[in-house]
Amino acid sequence: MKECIKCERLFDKALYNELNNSDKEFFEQHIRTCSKCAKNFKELRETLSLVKMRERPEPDKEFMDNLWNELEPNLIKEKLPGRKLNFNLFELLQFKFPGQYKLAGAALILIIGIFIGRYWMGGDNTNPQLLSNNGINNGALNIETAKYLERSKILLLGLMNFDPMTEDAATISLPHIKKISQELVNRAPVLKSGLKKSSHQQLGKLVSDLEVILLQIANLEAKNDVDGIEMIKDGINSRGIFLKINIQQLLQNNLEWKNQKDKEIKKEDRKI
Amino acid sequence: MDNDTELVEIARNGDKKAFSQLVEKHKRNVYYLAFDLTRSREDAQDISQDVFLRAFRSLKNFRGDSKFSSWLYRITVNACFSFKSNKSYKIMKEKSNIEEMKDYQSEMKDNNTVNPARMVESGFIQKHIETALQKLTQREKTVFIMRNYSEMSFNEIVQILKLRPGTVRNLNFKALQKLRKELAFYKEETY
Repeated sequence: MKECIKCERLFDKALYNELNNSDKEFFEQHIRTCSKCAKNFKELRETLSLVKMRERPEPDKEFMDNLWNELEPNLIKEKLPGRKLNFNLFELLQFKFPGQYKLAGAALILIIGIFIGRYWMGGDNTNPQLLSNNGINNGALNIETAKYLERSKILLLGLMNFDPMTEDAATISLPHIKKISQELVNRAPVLKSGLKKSSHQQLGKLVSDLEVILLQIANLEAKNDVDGIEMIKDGINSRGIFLKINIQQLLQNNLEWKNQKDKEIKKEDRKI
Repeated sequence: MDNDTELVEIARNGDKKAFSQLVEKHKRNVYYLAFDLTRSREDAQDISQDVFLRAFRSLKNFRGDSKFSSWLYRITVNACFSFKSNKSYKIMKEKSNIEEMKDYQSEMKDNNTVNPARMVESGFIQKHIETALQKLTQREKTVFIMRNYSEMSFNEIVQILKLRPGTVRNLNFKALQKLRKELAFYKEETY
């Protein structure tokens, strides 16, 4: 019986002629004497021969011959593999635009800024003083939210730059990312309730969006969960998470700058 | 430094001629692996193109830890998994087709004079092998196809799928045992 178990364990290697000499000797001897193992092994070998009868038609000759011709135009559209950016900001700045274009560009940027501030952000932060004056949304909450956004942003950037099709999940240390995501998910409810009370609804919504995405990351399979990662990346893009984070960070920076200026003005007033 | 490594180094700098040589060298194997996993010529062709585009775009990510071919096959397997409009899988999963197979199985059980060579010609055995392969889990099927149709070594499969050697062997053996059960009605005398 023990010999049968040992023999069965060698089936796999025997099928592919990978047995070493001592195992091979034992295996062949046992097969000669044990009809049950001999029958099992024979059936497995025959199954293998049978499934190998699966047809494998020749590929389409035209496709094979033209594959490179089909690929080449698409490669031109691709970025060169060794470079990360084809766009050189320095060169662009050196380019001399005609005066009217400069003016139009500046006006456009200004209009977009106003539009984002008024419409996209809704009522949130229209009065930045709210952040420090309402008594609920105190400095600690601001600092915590800023940290939360920054940590989430770094984590999501790492995930977005990871291509599961061509890279191993080990390169981004998925278990570590899952752990951080879980930590951030655990913090979200406190921040959300604080932000809700402080009437920062847009910021609260952003934290909610982040919570959903971070929860998805925390629930990824520990190994290559290619589909899961792709789904999360789609979610990040479709919700415009990075744009929202960047705008919130800009607003927070602006607020800090204003507060600092106010303090400086007060100091000067006192001196006067 | 093998030929592939040299070509990859040159292609990294945007040399399309070097990349075309890599495509030329590996296109058949990539196509066959995609075909074996999807059983659709059209899908295998689309996937082959997609694989080489992805490979070109991601050459910077290739660190040379494994062979270039292994990296390419890994992209191929992943591309096959995420290929949503896989017609052959859908067709094989259609109820009518499976019922047709069941009828055929019972017919075969009653018939002791099966000639496998004739069956291969008629395409029935092909359909039956396909149906049996569809009953494997995705992992079992992938490993089994890579080992037995693409004829990759177990070590190569370990590198491509990033699984443990024992797991790869187990998956292949489990697949074989399931196939044996599914194809049991082919009497041993008949093949």
